[in-house]
Amino acid sequence: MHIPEYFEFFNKSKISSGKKALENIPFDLRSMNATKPLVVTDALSVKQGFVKVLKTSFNDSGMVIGAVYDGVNSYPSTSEVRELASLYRDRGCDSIIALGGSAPASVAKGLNILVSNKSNNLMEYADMSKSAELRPFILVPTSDASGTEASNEAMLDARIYRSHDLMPDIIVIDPRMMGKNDVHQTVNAGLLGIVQAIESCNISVSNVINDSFAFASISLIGEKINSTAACKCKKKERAALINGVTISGIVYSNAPEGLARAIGFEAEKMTGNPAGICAGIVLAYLLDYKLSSIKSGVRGELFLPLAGIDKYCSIPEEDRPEAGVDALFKLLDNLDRQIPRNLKEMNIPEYMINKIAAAAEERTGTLFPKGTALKVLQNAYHGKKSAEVR
Amino acid sequence: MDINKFPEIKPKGKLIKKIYVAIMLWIVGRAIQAASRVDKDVKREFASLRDDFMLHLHVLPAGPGMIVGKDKNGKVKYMGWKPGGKKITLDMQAKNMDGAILMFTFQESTCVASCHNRLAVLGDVPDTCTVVRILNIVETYLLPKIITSLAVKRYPKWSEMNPVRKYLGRVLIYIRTFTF
Amino acid sequence: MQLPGYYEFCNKVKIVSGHHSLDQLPAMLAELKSVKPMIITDKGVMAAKLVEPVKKSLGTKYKAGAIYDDVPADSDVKNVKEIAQIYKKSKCDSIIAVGGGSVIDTAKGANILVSENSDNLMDFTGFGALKRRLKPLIAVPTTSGTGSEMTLVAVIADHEKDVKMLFPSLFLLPDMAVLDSRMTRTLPAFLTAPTAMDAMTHAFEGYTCLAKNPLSDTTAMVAIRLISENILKAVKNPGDHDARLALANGSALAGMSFSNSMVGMIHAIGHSVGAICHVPHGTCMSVLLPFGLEYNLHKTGHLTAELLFPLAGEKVYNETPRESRPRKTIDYIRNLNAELRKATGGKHPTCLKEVVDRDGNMMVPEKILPEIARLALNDGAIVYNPEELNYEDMLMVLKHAWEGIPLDLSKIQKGKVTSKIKVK
Repeated sequence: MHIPEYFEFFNKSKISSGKKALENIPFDLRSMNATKPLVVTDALSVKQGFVKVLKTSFNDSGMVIGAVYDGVNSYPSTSEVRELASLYRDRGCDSIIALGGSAPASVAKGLNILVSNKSNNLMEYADMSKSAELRPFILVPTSDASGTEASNEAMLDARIYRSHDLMPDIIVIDPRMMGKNDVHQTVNAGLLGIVQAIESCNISVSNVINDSFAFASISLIGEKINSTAACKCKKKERAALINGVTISGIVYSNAPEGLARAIGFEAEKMTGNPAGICAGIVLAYLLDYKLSSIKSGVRGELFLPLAGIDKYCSIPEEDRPEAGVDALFKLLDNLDRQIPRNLKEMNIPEYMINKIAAAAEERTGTLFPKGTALKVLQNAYHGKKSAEVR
Repeated sequence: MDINKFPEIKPKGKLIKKIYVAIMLWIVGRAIQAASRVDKDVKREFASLRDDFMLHLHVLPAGPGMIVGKDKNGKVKYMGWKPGGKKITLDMQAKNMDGAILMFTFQESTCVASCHNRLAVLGDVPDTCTVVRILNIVETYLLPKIITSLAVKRYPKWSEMNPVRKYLGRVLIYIRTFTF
Repeated sequence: MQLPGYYEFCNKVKIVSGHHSLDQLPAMLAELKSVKPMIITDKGVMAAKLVEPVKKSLGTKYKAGAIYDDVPADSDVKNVKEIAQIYKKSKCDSIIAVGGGSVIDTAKGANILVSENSDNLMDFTGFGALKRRLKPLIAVPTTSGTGSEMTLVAVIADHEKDVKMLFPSLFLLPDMAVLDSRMTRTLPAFLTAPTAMDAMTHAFEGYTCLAKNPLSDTTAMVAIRLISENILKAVKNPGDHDARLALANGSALAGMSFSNSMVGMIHAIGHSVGAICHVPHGTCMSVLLPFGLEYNLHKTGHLTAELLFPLAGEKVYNETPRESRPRKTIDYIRNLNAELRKATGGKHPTCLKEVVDRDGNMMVPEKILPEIARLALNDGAIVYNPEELNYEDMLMVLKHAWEGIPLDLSKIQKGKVTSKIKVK
């Protein structure tokens, strides 16, 4: 277990998960001295029936919802946030509920900055230390969650706002918010979650507190990703996966961005392919590359949440790093009907690899030696492990 | 943005849920009063509580409730559902109607409801433990074993050893609960 | 990993950990927008010169507005009021609590009064009494520990009225907890042992009691691993600052775990032993831990088995047959207590009859066990224990814990068996 010379850890969010979790929202808002929330969501949540369930959960609560704004689209903008701020003020709201995935969450976070500071200019708060205390913010992730909602990030107009203050006060995970959605969406979220959790366990950035959260996330996602991807699972199973994905957002907020995640998002920007799936494939090859270049580069303890206590203890210590990497490849193999086996199968043109690698390295700075991203991407492109390449 | 497209949502209520919980609270309140006359363990538990003990078990924010407490002669009485004018010493609040439904359809026992943070309690912790024990005993009388076993950690042994106590007690409590 | 039907998990205390993490105090105060902190501590901490690194770190820019060092071993409402008055008079705007559980709880209580501008703590008992953020509070634990820096509860006694008041509220969580290895380096062996076992018990009960959840599970496991690997190191070599830092992190993780999944019979009985016989909390926990696990074996044996892994390591876990793991865990803890007794020159007890005061007098006479059993029945922790306990059960556990004889499992009145491993 790694305790660095110095580290900080912060998780602002209370997690409330399970049967009838939504019904606690009015009580929780009143405990934070709030009585009139604004709900921010998207058309997909309306279509899946989630908005109706949320409204019903307020029955008998005596609490009025200021408005339900369901117009958030996939690439939210600051102008949308400004308009919403007017709606918020017009209705006399005093709190915000985001329902859905990363887009509603980003809009809600941006909105919170504006209304809490009585401002119309988000750019002023690029440095959040200037911000006033934010209003109560509740996140209700649905089966459309992707892994960034619970984090300390908001993405608006392709610009990232980052601060621990942006994390939700409460995250409410209710099985009724788990719908039958696109398999790719589920797998994408699960893989992004597992990437965020595993990369935070990288020995150079990890600490014992973040490890505890990461292990919970990896365990939950690892156990549930197959059954949820196969679409035959109960809502409770899906909720368990979303628990893992949500916790990964908290973990990610407490560690610098890893290379696989950076590659995933740059690939999405440049090619439109889903970031989580790209990152998941790349992570396996990245760990494989680290294993072959420096064996100690991969923590044996990663094998624990992927395989469970019994299997972990049955393998000699020196074999655990390799077992961990194998377990990750196996997880991807088991998803072979839902995801491609390598980046080539994702129709990413080969010439883009260099661009993606360069952009990812710029994003992650000096975390890895220069050139690592390109080598790993090349392996992931062709689906060839390091040992095979040699 | 046309803000009229996004109106305010005023909360509704399900009358049937409210009525069900109100009835259950009435039954439990009356049954506690009855059990305090009939069962020696319940008598003993109440004897350990303060002389002005008054429990208000209700649903937030303004849902149904019941009050049970000791009158000035020390007798345990069901005191209706209006807390006005009474000095409540233990305030047990179900945070919302659905949490109350889970408790009163016995999907979650008092213990499990506590673990799930469905209840907020204002008052003495020892009194809360006593009330939980009383509720467990009363549930054992009111419900068949198959349901009570879901609601309690360990089905009370006395009710297996001494069927007379259990069945006679059950009859007496039912009579006293539903008559005045 | 089992997801329970419903759970809640909250730990919004910023953790700052390191061998010199206190040096970050100025940055922390700036983040909390505070310029004039009040330091709250006790005479023991002052005498051990543990406030010096705090004062040094504050430097000249953040001179402490006031220092209060009169917190007693048991937090009292009288001290809370005194502190609040000094805070207001000195125009402070934040609190730094340097000490053990009592100091941190007192600081939480004082924070209620100064933030709500009241002088009556009674107005704020019970859940939901506090509705908004309090003034900034930084906790600097000097034991590893009670985990109070991570809990949402303050326990404050009113010795005049002879009552103990419980204040549970998310708003009582400190804003920050500073885990600095210098704060426990001078903790003597006979205090290191029980405080670390207190943390160990938090983790064990957090993992096995009814409100457990995925995050309380992983934090408990990591806590047990850290404590188990470092407790004897720190006891035998108090200056081992890596071991101290590991214990501090283990204690914080254990605090996080039990704060969210609650504790059970070990704490219920332990609180009562402490209340009646004035035995330090950690000592009660060390002795009672194996007995609590034994009592609950038919309910949580499989969980006790899993904890053999962080407790004893991969090799022992792998080499122990599955059905033997629960017993092995409990035996390991008993052995650990025995080792600690040796390492502390006989000061760390392995059973209640071995608990003595500074003059060697027995602190828990056998005849007082019935009174302890009666009091334990009214401890809220009972609700979260996997198995029911009545007076006879309590007394049986206490008698065995007094003698130091393992429980006879056949004599335990068992409800529905839920353990996946049958232990005889």
